[in-house]
Amino acid sequence: MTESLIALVILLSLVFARVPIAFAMALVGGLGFAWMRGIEPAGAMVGSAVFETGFSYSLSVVPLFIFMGNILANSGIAHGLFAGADRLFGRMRGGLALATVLSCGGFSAVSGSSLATAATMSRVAMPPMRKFGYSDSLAAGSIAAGGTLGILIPPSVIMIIYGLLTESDIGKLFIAGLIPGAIGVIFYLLAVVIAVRVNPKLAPPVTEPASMTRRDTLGVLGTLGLFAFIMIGIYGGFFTPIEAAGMGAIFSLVLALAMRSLGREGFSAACVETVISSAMIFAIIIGAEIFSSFANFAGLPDALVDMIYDFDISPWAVIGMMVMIYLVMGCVFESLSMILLTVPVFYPIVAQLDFGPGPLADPENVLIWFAVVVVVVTEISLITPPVGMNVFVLRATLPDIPLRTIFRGIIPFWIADILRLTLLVLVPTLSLWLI
Amino acid sequence: MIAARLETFLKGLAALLLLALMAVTGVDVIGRYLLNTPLSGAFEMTELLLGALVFVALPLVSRAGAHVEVDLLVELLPRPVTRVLGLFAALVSAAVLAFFAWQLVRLGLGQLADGSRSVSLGVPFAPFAFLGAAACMLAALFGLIRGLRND
Repeated sequence: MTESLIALVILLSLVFARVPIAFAMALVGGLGFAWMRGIEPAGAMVGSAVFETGFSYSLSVVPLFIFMGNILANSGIAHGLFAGADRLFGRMRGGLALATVLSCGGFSAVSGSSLATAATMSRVAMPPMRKFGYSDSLAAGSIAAGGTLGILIPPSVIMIIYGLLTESDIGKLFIAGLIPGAIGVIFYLLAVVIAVRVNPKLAPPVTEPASMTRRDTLGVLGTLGLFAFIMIGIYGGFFTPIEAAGMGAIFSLVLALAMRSLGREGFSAACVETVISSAMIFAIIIGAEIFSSFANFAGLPDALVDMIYDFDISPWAVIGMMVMIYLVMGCVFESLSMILLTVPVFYPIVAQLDFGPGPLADPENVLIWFAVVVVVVTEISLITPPVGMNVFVLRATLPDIPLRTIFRGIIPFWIADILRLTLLVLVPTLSLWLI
Repeated sequence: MIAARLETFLKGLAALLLLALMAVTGVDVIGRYLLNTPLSGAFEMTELLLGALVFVALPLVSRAGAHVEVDLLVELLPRPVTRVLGLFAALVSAAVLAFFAWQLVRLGLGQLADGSRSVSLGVPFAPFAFLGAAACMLAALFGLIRGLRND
């Protein structure tokens, strides 16, 4: 326990000194392991972690789902989604921001990543919002927040990684994200409505009605088709959730070719972006693997379980504490490393909690509900200052908007998120109903 | 110059591996339903392609400076300090990657001696370990060049 805490402090110092999170975790985990077991076994542990992580069948979903999202991001379907959603809300005050949230939700359904969703939608939704004089804070806030839906609405790379860590059924995890994802969209829409009601200056009325080209319509239909293809494929038993990634990538490539919107350049950009993001994610997975080997060896999970038994803490209090830990960690850590560091420690504890009869009587269900809770907390961390990754993505695509403006725009969405989190924690049925 | 060429080569190779990875799933699933002949060894092919893909793309991440890091303090600290921190981070990263490479070489030599191969396709593992070692060294190098050049 003491070793783990010292290690965490060193890890944090390295991370703040700008050492990439992947290498900081590897270094601290490797040194800690060497200190406890000797250099030779530590070297062997590190070697096999580096070698074997890449050779994991289930992790093949990481590059393939990212590829699917990147192909679609470069193919203009996001524009179609935005135009379609805008037709729905065009007459309302704040209609463009509402359309942004809804099309973010739509794009999330074919993208497994929040960062990709935010990056794609910022290119599509920001120009019209600026053109019609929307305030930068509302515009950027709705994109950053809407983008977080990417990891909750299936398919989701984070859900898959949670499933691998906890040996949960990935198909069930995907389904569990549907209702909470829909609630997320609805709450965000309400956040926009309330924000423009309070301060109408945020969103001047739009005079020019949106029009949809044939390609836009095709984009909307294609997105719905791809989502249906993945869901029917998985739940109809035609392919596994792992294979769904490859099939989805093929479908999106065919779709992009059919729409004639993905040129050679777009295609090679999608390939290069995909392999770089994938290797970046694998580096983090390797680092976390090494750190977890050490933390497990140092007995961190067992020590925590003992503590819960000794102090006779109620299961709800345990979940509450974990949520608090995530919210605090989320201020500093990037989403994937946060999940990789905590889930291996937390899930054995969560699986042993006794919630009594009800929807949480089955430990398997508890882990699925916990997955939804973890993903929603992670979504919050993506827009929490100072290190909200989605905000950084936005700043990369829109360098002229100051960080402070973006964070100010996020406040209504952040409140909506906290309400949603509370609701999902207190009403597990919302996550477990469709399973 | 050499670095740029190497980068282009790695990008092309990684893209090919990615497309192959996608094709394996496609051929397997479509073959299973339409032609009743699933691709034998698809599982292992996926694993081997993915492993190679990760290694080939790793140097690209370091070259692009795309590793996830927390640059929270950068805006608060004076420039000379961030410069030193950047160099420190690059050195730590390079040391970790070099250690990875060393362990992969050891692993590869062991696999060579044992003659260990994948179960169903019989592909020897050692070349992958050596590929990984080379990739980690290259990533360390790219990271160092970036750290020295940047600020």
